[in-house]
Formats: sequence, structure tokens, C-alpha cells
Amino acid sequence: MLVARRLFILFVLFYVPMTTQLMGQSLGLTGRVLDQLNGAPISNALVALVGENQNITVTDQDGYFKISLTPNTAKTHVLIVQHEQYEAQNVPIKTDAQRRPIVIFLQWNTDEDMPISDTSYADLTDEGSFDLPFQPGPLQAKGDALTGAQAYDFGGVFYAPRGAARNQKQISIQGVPINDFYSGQASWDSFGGLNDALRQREIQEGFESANYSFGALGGHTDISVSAGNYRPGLKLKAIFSSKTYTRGYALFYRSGLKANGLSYALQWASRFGDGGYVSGNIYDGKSLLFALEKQINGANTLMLTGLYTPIIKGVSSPLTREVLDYHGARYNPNWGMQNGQIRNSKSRQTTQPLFILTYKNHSKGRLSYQINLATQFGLAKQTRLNYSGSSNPFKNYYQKLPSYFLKESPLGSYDYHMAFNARQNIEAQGQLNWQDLYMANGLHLNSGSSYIVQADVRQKQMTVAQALMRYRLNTLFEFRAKVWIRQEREHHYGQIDDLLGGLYYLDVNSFYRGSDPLGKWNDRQTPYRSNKVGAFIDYNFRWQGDQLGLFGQLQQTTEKWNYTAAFECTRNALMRKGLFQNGSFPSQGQSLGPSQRIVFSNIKFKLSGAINWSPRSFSRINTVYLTEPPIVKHTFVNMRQSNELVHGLKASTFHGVDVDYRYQGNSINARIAAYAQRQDDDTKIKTFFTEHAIAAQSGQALVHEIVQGIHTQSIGLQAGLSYDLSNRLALSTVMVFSEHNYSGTPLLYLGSDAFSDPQRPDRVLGSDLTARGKRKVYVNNYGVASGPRQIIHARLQYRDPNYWWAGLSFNHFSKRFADMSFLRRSADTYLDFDGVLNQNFDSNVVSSLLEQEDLGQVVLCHLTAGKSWRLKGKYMSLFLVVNNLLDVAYVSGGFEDSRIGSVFGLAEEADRPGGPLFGNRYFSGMGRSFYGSITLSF
Amino acid sequence: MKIYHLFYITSLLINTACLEDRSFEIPFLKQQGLLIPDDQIVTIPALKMAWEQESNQELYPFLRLTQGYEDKFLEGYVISDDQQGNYYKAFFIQDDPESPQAGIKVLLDQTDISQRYDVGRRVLIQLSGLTVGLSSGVFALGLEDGGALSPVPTTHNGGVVQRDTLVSPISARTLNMENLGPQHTNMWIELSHTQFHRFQSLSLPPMTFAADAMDQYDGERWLEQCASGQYLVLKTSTYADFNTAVLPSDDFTIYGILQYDYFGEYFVLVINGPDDIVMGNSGRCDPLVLDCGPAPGLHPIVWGESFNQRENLSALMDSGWWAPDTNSEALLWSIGSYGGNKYLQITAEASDIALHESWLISPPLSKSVLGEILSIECDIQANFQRGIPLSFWITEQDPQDYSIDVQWDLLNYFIPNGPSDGFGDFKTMGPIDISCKTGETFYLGLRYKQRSVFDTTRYHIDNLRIRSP
Repeated sequence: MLVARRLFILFVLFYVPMTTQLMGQSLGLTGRVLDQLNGAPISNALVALVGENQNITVTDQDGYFKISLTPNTAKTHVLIVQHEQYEAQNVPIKTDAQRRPIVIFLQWNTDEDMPISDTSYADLTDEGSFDLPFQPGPLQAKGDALTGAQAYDFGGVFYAPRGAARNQKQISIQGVPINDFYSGQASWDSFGGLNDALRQREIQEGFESANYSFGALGGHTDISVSAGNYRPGLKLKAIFSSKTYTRGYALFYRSGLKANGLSYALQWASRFGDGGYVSGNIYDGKSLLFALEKQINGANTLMLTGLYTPIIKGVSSPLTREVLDYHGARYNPNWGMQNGQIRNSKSRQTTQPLFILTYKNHSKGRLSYQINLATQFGLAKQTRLNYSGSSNPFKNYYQKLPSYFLKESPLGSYDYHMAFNARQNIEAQGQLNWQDLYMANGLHLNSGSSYIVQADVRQKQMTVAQALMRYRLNTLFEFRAKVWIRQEREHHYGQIDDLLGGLYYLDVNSFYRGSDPLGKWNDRQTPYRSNKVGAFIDYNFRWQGDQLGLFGQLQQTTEKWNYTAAFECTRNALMRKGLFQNGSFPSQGQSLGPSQRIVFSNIKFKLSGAINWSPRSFSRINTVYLTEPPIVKHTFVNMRQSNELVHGLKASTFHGVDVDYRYQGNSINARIAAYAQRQDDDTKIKTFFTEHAIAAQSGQALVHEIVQGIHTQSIGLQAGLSYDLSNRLALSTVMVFSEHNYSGTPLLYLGSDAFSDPQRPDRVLGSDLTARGKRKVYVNNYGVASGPRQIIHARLQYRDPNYWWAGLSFNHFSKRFADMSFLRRSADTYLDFDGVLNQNFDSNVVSSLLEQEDLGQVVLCHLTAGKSWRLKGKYMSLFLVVNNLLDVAYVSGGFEDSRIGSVFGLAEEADRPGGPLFGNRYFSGMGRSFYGSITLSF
Repeated sequence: MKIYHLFYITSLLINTACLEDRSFEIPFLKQQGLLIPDDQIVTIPALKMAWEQESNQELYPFLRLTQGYEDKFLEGYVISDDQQGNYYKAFFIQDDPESPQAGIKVLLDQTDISQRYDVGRRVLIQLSGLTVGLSSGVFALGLEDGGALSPVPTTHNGGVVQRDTLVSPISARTLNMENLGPQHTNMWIELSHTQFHRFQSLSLPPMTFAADAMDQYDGERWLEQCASGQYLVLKTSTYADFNTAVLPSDDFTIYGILQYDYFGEYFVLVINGPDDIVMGNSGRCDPLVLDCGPAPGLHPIVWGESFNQRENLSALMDSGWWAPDTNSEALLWSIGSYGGNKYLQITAEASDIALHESWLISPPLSKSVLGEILSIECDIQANFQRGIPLSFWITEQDPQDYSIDVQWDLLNYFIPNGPSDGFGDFKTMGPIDISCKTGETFYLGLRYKQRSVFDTTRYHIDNLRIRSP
């Protein structure tokens, strides 16, 4: 159908009892592959016979192919014909009847050659005070209007399908999941840039039936890297963009299946730039993938896959409305010029090579299996400027903004003068001044650096061993199982990246206000240590997690209906081991040494069914119940400094049901889906600096806000329709209406090294649990910040017989909410700084102060276009996408700043003549930006 | 072909493994001396003189530097350092590094000023549009803000404070506490043979610079100089990094800047950091006390004065107490009461006239009546503490006998310290052993003697008692 998106080989399996045997001789099938538009032969197209055997060949210069059909197997085979310039075709072949040569016409592919990870927004820092948004992208697209729009058009507004969080999208490569335990997320940076090599995707939407995967709310995508399934050839690509990187090159070489059963593929890519849409976000990424495959005696395949994508990129920060109004969406306060080069104080570096060994057995018998061994190691590192104890040098620091000088009435001429001055400063220069930092360190060489660049490093190591099995009982029933062991070990530490002209650094916690003389040292074991570049500072710990898992699935398929019942159970064991003894946690076992071992056992159940109303229409229903342990990051109160576990840790549970109906006509493709779900007992930890930590002496502390028992409910309706107006023009439209809200009353408490027990001043607690208990958070019916709830999308695409195409999409997003602060809506909000309830509040005023901000409606238009040329068996194609054609200024997302944690603070902020000091912070959406590529395929 | 492939793959691998090396070299800091012609430079003494002459010192002591100052720069050498947190948005400069005549406090809207303007650096400050006047009692430069001076933004006039490449070591001016005057403020001075008052540095536990319970914004501690017997307040901010450090117990030489307290009433010394205190080796010079041995245990009370029966001071006098009128018109002693409890109260109002000295002497106390082994104890509350003017004495001679020169012995005690801007708590002082006084009768003497006009600590003394086994 039109509105084409790249499809991976859909393994449609026909199950045949081993009752009939065909003639012993191998049968040959010949045929020719032609271009449907002009009838020209297509050479070097991949022709594969799908079934129990992997029979692959390639068309010759005139488009002819010959493929052998192995005997005594199926009544029908499926022939797949593939070439990236064209849409893949699945042709059913009846073995006994088909001896005549067949002619296959391939439709020209209007493919969106977008990179895997969506680049609709600049890379963001992961500071722990907000959730990184869901990552949509081509790994979402399944060929229908809805998933296509979700993949390509909804990125810039942080849309999340069914309100899924980032850790609810699962990615696996060769069947090996790459989501890690720590954050539950897949590290997109560990396979970026390999767009061409990772095109063989099996996309599972939500919890729908799939082969070996239970599914996830945000979907699951399994990427196969099978060298034998690539069409042999060489592809060269040049990329130009104005989004995150500005230039890129890629090379993709495939050997194709050789006579001896060996095949290999190699992709190399490089993307770089000095800052795309957002200034200062330098980008330098290299990617390398190799795949080696050997077919052993027809039924078994051994595959070795290796990926290595080292990348370093600058990162920007969310900004308040005041700063955005001065500087706009391209502003990034984190960088400054040094020696004529852009230097970004916040950058993220990932080097995590991944190796997977796969052994597949696809026998013609009932049983087939696969074994995977995988390992990934390396590090994920994020740098930041450490200025503890000195003044904040960033130009968007709140004390440097005009609002700071206009914060209190009555205002005198001095205040206006200072505000005017501040405004001139921020307008004239918003970037970091590196020279000032070097000077500050250089003038006081004897006392250690006041400013350093610190790296927060996660050294990762992951190994997985898994076995998959499929057993066919008969034509109707099929049983699949998967068993795995997964081990992850990580070493987290802070490290000095650059002393900025100083000679050494003293690893001191400059916020420590207690009376213990060793209390201010981040490692009491080695106080007064002068640290040089590369030394471990701030925190140092390891954690290890082990997972045992079992998955089982039963499928029954008939012509009229089919169903799938599946379960998955896992056992996770987790332990932390501190290597520093933090000054605020001196007691035995508090910070240094092993923590308690925590074990979670969880189970998931799902029942999916499908009814085929007619050959053209079918409905599906999925019902799911699952429990999931909190991610490692949300298991410990203050993982960097202490071993303390979150009190009353619980697994979260999920109940969900979704139904959909699809109709596939000649020129109409329609789909309508509805879902209802609830998630209970979720745990979230956010880290931020607040002025309302009542258990701290002055109320000010860096806290870890632990919220438990979070309940969310959502319902939604999604509809997609695509209609061919003619054989050149196609129209598609998508509508989404949904609600995604909090319900119930979660409980909150705070962890911090600033809390001490007033009864026992000699003891330092890591949290205010005993001092204040768990407080209720009143968030019923507030919206979860998961992107727009209502979307209207329309797309028009034109295909011209001269091999060019263009598409224009119109997208209207509304009902988008800022992520709210739990602390502000907890019982703490009515307390004065000394913990005494302040009765002077009017409930109307309180409601208006606690209203959740609606980020507004936004209309985004995107333009895509492509053209291909064919030059004697070689293809050249050009692809271009322009996002936000009308250059609309908008925010992608935003969140409330929990620094102000009480309604009194909020009322004070609302009264400030110059605007709030700690207003909501926003992620700007990109203005008009483009991405384009020129590809040469041989 | 295969070798070619291998070579190609290897080069790709090497290329991938190496991300661009992003190490940054240290930026080259261009140092250029300031070239300002002499006729544009104003010295601090000249500016001070202009201020004294052209402003109304009584009503409105501020001078706005507009006409005639458009292109003028104030020259000075930095003497303060805010790296340890003892200064906030202000720094001090004096006109010459070695023999200064005047200094000035500059209010600048910047934290971590010493990161740019380090000690000894010559700076030139653009005067146009600024105002000079008083800030907490000292000569200061800032922006006018409703009758006071507030910090100047750093980018005022495009960069109000400019650094020179010249950094000179600052020589301290050696002074004595007794001849400190307003002309010595804002300058880097040195006081030798100085110690902290024994009640603050020898107490158990000794006090800290600014981290004791009563310190709210600043900690004020009493420095004494042996030669003169004078004292000077050392002021440390509670936000200073070294506020939790303990006061040194021995004698030392101290360097700092002479200023006034927050309200501009009395002198204080402010240091940059604990390195400004250089330990000496002369030893302390504490007054001789009557040392009868270690503090005795708590014996039963044989004599007491709770002051609850006394209506007023006259009533106290009628019962045998005596107050010789030394040099003041009004007696400073009184009977105070709070919450039903009465106590003896002594305070002095600041006056420019003279320094008060006032005695209150107990009735004669007899050893034959009370016992041979005696110890004294009382409850003391120190309020609005400025200095420690109260002392406790004992004599066996008759104080009212004017024919002899009465010998008083200082008792061996520690008076508790209290907050400088409020009421303290009653704390017990003693028991102090007085058994080694061999005479039959003895008298207790309470002396309140100011060492400066601002020495106005108010003491409440209650439950004076004598114990004997």
C-alpha cells in the first residue's frame, strides 16, 4: 500500500504437518524482477525463500533469478523479493504447481531514510530532576498511517504512544534486549548512525503477538543483523543536516550469500558538527558494525555481530521563560569559546561496543531453536562543571537575571538600575567564560581548583546468555519459550576531567554544615587527598544485578481467528557496594561496603486474540497484566552516597486492554484502536535542590524525592486512515484522543545528606523518613506529562512517474502538560519552613497556584521529498525532510521547578514584580530544520 | 582483493576507535598593564577629603561622583580576600601597599571577588556615576540606594573595576589597641602580642570563631593586647569557611582590616582567614587569680543571696551591701526582675563622657560562721554582650577603710558568654574555691569596669551562694 514505510521481512510462517513428501529432487524456480513504473529489469535484487530453509539468491543484470525449492516440505512457500529502492514483495508460491517462470513487479519505494533515533530535539542532560522524553522514530513505523505518523511526525512534541515512558520501549538486537537495568532504557547512543545496517526490524506494537517478546507499553523492536539477508552491494551516503549534527558519511558493504554459505556485512558511519539547531552542541560520532554469518548444512546458521559506536556530543539544558525570551530556542548556556573553539561544559560520551553470537537452527521438523550469547561493555560518561563552593559561572544563573533585582516591592531606582544592567549583560553575552575560570584557579594555585570539569561515569558490563525455542505441535498450535540469564555490573564514579589551570582538587562537600570534622569529605578514608586529573571524586560505587528469566507462549491459529497466551517471569537480584565512605554517612555499612541484597520476582501474563472478519479486515484484542520491579536507579534512596534502600519497595503493576480494527482495501487502509490501562505502585525518584526540605536545618538541601505508590490511568482512541486519491496522490489522516492522568494519593519522602536527627545530633540520617514520615501527595486527576493528548494529523503525498515524490504533513497538537512537582502537591506544601502548619491560605488561591501548566497548542508542518536516478544498475537517490516548515516557535515539554516547594513560596513567586525567580523550565522545540541525504548504491 | 578489504577494514576500525581528541589547552591569558594617564587617577586620600568637604557629614554623608568624575579612576591595592567567605560582595583597597594613608571599602555585586582581584593587586575603579559615603561606619564606595550604599554591578560603565598586572605584597601597619582611631579604618594592620580573652579561648569547650549557639550573622570575639590591657572585637561571618575553627589559646600576632561593626558603633577587626593569625611564643598575659586549687565538689550551701527579697538597690544596701561611688553620677547596679524572679542587674549606657567603673561589695562574711573550707558559686546571664567588664574579687581588708590601700584578689572563674544582640541564658559560674584566704572575715567585690565606651554588656547575677562541707 501507499504511504510506504520500510518493512522488515515479516516472517509469515505456514505450519505444515510432516505428512506429505514431495519428489526427492530439488525443484528450481525461475523468474524475473521488473520495475513496475517503467518495466525496467531490476538487477541485484535479493530473492529469498522463506520457510524452514534459507534459500537466497540475487537477480542478475537482466533481472533473472533462479532459486531452488527444497523438497518434502511445504505446500506453499513464500518468496520475498527485496531491494531498498523498491518495496519488498512477498509472493506465495505453491510448490507443486509452480514451475513456470514468474514475473514480479516491484513498486518504487518512497522511503523515509530517517536516522533511527529521532533528532527532533537537541540532546538533553540527564540530571535526574526530570524524565527524558520517549524516543519515537523509525523503529516505531509499521507501515500504516498511525504508526508512520507516530514515527515521523510526532517527535518534536515528546509524543509517547499510550503514554509510555522512555524505559517502556524495548529494543533488542538479534533477539538480545539491550535495555539496561539501571534506567530501564536502551542506550540509543550505543547503536546510533547504523541506519542502513539495522533495517531488518520486527516491530511489535504494544503487547501484540510477537515471536519471543512479551511486549512493552511503548512497543518492542527487534533488529536483526543477518548478513545473508542483505542484498549484496555497496552503498555510499552523504548526510547534511541542521538538527543535531551537520554532516555525516556512511558506507555499507554487503557481500551477499556466497556459495560456501558465508556472508558478511560492514557498515561504517561518521556524523559530526559544531552545533546544529541549538548552539554549542558539538557532535562527533563514529559507528562501526560488522556482521558475519555462516550457514552450516542448510539448517543451521552461526552469526557474529559486533557494533561499536563511540560518540561524544554536547548537551543543552532546559530554560526558564525569562531566559527563552531573551535568547530564543537556539540558546545553550553550557558552552563558551576557548582558544577559538567551542567548548561545552556539559557533554555526553558513550563508548559501548556490543558483541552478539547467535546460533540458529531452523530445522524442518517441529522444533527449532536459537541460542544467543552477548556482551556489552564500555562507558557512558557525562561531564559538567563542578563549581561547588564558588559562585555559579553560568550566565543564566538566577542571580544574574533581571528578575532577581526586581524580586521584591517596593522597587527603587537602584533596583531598576541593577535590573537594566543585568538585562544588558544577558543580552550581550550568554555563554560561559572559560578564561574567568582559568583565572580564578590560577590566582589561587595553592588552595586547589575552585572550578573543575567533572565527569560522571558509568562503566558498564553486561553479559547475556539466552536460548529460544519454538515447537510446532501441529498446524494449529505452536509453543515458544525463552530462557535467559543476564548479568549487569556497573561501576559509577565521579572523575576529574580537567583541573582548568589548577594543580589539584580537594574533594570536599562544600554544603556540609555539621560538626563532624571529617564530615565534609566525600571519602572519609582519604581526607586531604590532592586529586589530579583522572582521580575518583564525589562518589564511587559499584552495583551488580542478575536476572533469570523464563518466557512461554502458546499460539493457536486458524483461518478465522487466532489467539496467543503468554507469560514471562523474572527474578532480579540487586546489590550495591560502596567504595567511598561518604563523610555524611560514617556508620558501618551506611556508605562503604556492600548493601543489603534485594530480590524481586515478577510475573507477566497476556492474552491476545484476533478475529479475521474477512480477508480484508480483522480485529485484535490484547489484555495484559504484569508486574515490574523498580529500575535500579529508583531502588536506592541516594545511590551515589549510601546503601540505603527505598523503604517499602514494591513492584509496579500494570493492567491494560486494547482493541483495534483494521481494514485493508484496494485503495483504503483504515485502522481504529482504543485502549484502557492503569499502572499502580510505581516508584519514582527525582533529584533536585529545594528550599522546602523541612527536615534540613535551613530548609535548603539537595534532595532525592522518593514518591511511591504512583497510580496512573489512561484511555485513548487512535484512528488512522490512508486513502489513495489516484495512483499518484495519497492522503492519510490520523487522530488521537487520549487521557493520561494520575489517580489516588502516592506517598513522598526525601533523602539527603543534609538531614540530621534533632533528637540525636550525633547521628546523620540519609532521609527524613523517621523525622517526618511519608507524606501524601495530592495529584488526583493531574495530567501525566507524556506529550500531547490530542492530535490531528493529515498528510498528502505525491508520487511522480519520474521517480520523485513529495509529502506534506500537517499536525495539530493540543493538551500538553508540564511535568509537575510532587513536593509542591504534598502535605509539606502547607508547612512553614519550621514545620508548623500555616493556616493562612485560601483554597481558591491554592488551586490556582497549583494549576498544572498547559503548554499550549502547536501546529507543525513537515515536508519530505525524494528523488532517485537509475544509472546502469546503480542507483542514486536524494532524500530531504524539512521539519517545522513554518518555523513555529514552541516548547516541546517543560517541568515545574521543585525548588519552590510550598504554596507560600508559590504565592511569593506570583507576586514578584519581575516575574518568578524559579519558574517552570522548558525544552524548546526546534524551529525550521532539515535533514537530507544523498545515497549511491551499487 | 582480500588484502585490500583487510586494509580498508583496519583503517576504518582505527578511524572509529579514535574520536577526535577534545583536550583543551590552557587559554593564553593576555596580561596588559593598565595605561591610565595620571591626571585621571584619583587617590583614596584625595577622594576622602573631597567627600568630607563636599558632603553634609551630619545630615547626609554621601557624595555622588558625577561632575568632574566622568573619566576619573580611583587607584588602590586590594587588601581583603573573600575566598574563605568572610566577606560578601565587598572588598577593601588602600592607596599604597607599604605606607598607606587611607583605605576604602568597595561594594561590588559579585561573589568570589578574590578570583579576579587578589590580594596585592593594583586596581583602578571607574568613579563615574558612583557614590561615596558610609557603609557600616566606614568610608565606602558603591551605588546610592535610598540613603545607603549598595553593591555596584560589575559591568557598570563597561567594567567598573579594572585589574592591573601589578601585584605588590602588602605591608601591615603595626598598631596598638590603645591608639586605634577612625583614621586607621579600611587599612591592613598588625597587632602583636594579642590573645583571645581567657573566658573565650580557655573555656571548656573553647569558643569557635563564629559557630557557637549565639552567633546569628557574625561571631564577635574579644581580642586583648597584653601591653595596653585594651581589647578589640574580632568579627567573623557565620558564613566563613573557618567559622567552626576553635579560637587559639596562646598569644599571637594578628593581621586584618580595622572596621566598625554592622551598626557602625564600635571598632572591629576582620581577618581574611585563619592564616592571618600567626602564633607567637611570648605566652599569655592573663591577670593573676586567686588559685586555691581545683574546683571543689558541691558542698551544702551555707550562705546565699537570691535577691528575691530585695525591692530595689536601696533595700540591698540596707542589708549590708555597699557601693562606693567611684566616678559616675548614677549607680549602674539595680535589682531587675523577670518572671517572678529577682536578680542583680548591672549595665552601662554608652556615653562619650568617661568610662564607667562601679563596684558593689558584699557585707562582711565570717569564716567562723560559714566554715573553713568555702567555695563560691552564682548564676550569671550575659546579655547584649560587648566586652567582659564584670569581674569578681575578694579581700580580707575592710573596703570602707580609706586609710589603707585595699588589696583585692581576682577570683579564678569563667564568666559565661552571651549573644551580642539579645538576652542570654542563666548559667552557673563556679564553684570557686576560696579556702586559701586565711583571714577571719572577707568581702566579695563585684566590679564593672568599661574598657571602652561601647563596652556595655548587661549582666544579671542571681543566687550568689557560698558552700561549705
